[in-house]
Amino acid sequence: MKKILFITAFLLFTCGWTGYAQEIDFSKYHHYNLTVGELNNNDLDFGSVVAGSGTHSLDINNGKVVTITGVRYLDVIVEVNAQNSLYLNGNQGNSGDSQKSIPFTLQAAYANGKGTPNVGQAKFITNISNNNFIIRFPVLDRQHEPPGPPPAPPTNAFDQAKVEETAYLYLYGSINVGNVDAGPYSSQITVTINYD
Amino acid sequence: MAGFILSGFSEAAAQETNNKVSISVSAQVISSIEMITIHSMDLSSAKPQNNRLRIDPQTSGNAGKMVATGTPNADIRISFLRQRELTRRNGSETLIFNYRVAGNAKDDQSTAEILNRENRDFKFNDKGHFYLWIGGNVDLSTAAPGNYQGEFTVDIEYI
Repeated sequence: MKKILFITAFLLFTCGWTGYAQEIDFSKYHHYNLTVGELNNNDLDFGSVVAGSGTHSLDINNGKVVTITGVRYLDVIVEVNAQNSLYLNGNQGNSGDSQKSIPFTLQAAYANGKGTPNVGQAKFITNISNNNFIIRFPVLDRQHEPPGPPPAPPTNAFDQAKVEETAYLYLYGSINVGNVDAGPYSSQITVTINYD
Repeated sequence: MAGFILSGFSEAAAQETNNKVSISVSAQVISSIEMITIHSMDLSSAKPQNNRLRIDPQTSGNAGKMVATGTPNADIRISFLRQRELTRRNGSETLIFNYRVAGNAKDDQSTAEILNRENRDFKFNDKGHFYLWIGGNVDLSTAAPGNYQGEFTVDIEYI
């Protein structure tokens, strides 16, 4: 009798320390295609700016648009990493040199509404820190409804084209041009997108 | 124990697609343009002919000289007002001065080109300089004696 009581106490203790939320990532049980494209092939280009002219902004209507085409009921995780400055001749060795670098502030939004998402539907991303952020959203917005039931496991007859939608990621921002050396300045934004 | 089995299965079945794009952020910085007057046009030592005073911007030592500084080798547009009013000091009489301007990326007046009202085919030299010589003519036939003053306006912008 003494032995049984001891085992029961041990199990209760263990349960108290191992409880955690459960999450099932349905994309892990099948290979779904995810296509990332660029709606406008131009760079995020601020054009010609005069040294010492201060802040120049590209708003959401004039920014870079990345398209995310995938299974509409799955979530994607978007990770964006941008440098904090543009560098003369793109040379990161100019980092920290105020004569050869221009501070850059990244802004971002996404649209995943029905039909063709547009700027008017865009949801602004506010958790940008040091020009980096990670955000998760469904390819197609659930329209404030609770998540549906788990999708049926895909079979060989599964046709992804029938359940595809495209979400849009907008990247834009501003630069603050001090009395820097003249010349071409650039840096890179890396966007990585995967299913959750 | 059940949790451990589910976790192991999900890792084995995962087939993630990794999609990465790289986007360039860019800007072309150009220097602000500054104008420096080397010397003003000197009308006092020029001699009028047929009541008209002329200063040739390509040959006269009395021509004014200015230098513009900006981004080396950048294309520029130059425009200027061809006529400006000169006003007599301590008076209200005026004269119309007709400006003629010559420009050159080299610091050489004799090979400078006469500028039209608007010019788009010039550029700063590799040191970021462009030179201007300012001359013109004025009809003195009705001018009251005295000293006259006026301005010269030139616009230089990047294209």
